[in-house]
Amino acid sequence: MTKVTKIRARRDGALTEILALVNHPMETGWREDKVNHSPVPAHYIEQMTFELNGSLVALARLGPGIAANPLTGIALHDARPGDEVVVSWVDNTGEGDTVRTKLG
Amino acid sequence: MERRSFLCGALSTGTLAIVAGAGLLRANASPATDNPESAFAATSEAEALRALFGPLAPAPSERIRIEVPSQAMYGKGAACKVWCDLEGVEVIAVLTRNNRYPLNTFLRLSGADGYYSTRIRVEETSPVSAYVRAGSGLYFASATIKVSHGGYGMHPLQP
Repeated sequence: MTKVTKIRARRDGALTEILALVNHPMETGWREDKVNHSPVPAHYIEQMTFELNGSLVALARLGPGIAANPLTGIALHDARPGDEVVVSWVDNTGEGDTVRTKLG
Repeated sequence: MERRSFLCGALSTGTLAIVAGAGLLRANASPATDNPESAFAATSEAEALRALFGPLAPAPSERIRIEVPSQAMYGKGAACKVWCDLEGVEVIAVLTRNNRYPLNTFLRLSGADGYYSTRIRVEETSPVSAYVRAGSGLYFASATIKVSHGGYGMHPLQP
């Protein structure tokens, strides 16, 4: 299953909201496969980091209590057009992705 | 045997005093925000808060706003947005009291604004709270989500 990560930046006055959507099952590990009656192994994003122009501005810890295909948002008050935002995530199996965008 | 355990006890207390004196144990630095496994594994909201924020007692604050839908389907995502305009916000944590593991998520800030938008899972009707550590204090705001169980026996999360 390919994991797609998308970033969207929305300006709202002085604040820029950075939204990151990750296509991820966020499997809790408590579900049972209905066909084989075997537990579906836990597979969820553990950590997401947000960087603005190379410095970390926010770090989110996620877990099985977060819904599938998580949409995570933070806000920046000092983002300017042309700034680079990097969003990175890593899950409990070590899988991860990093996406960059330049603010328009 | 008794004497040995007495000596070991005395030694560990002495060590702790030296470390605390050297400033290595800071009241505000909670090790659990760096190693949050025990907070995510806590089965009660109080236990999760203790793991995250230590002995800080939370106080309600009107400067935190938490927005959640009034109803959600069991196991499906509920959009949760938190705004806070306190000074020196360091951590925003979202906890759902009646979930088997109340801590849903937390955000550690190092430059971003006091805002967090996420989609949480809610297992049964429960207060959902945003706990914010700002400066040396811990503050919170809550809202309740009513959970309905989906029809046709569709339960994506099995106990």
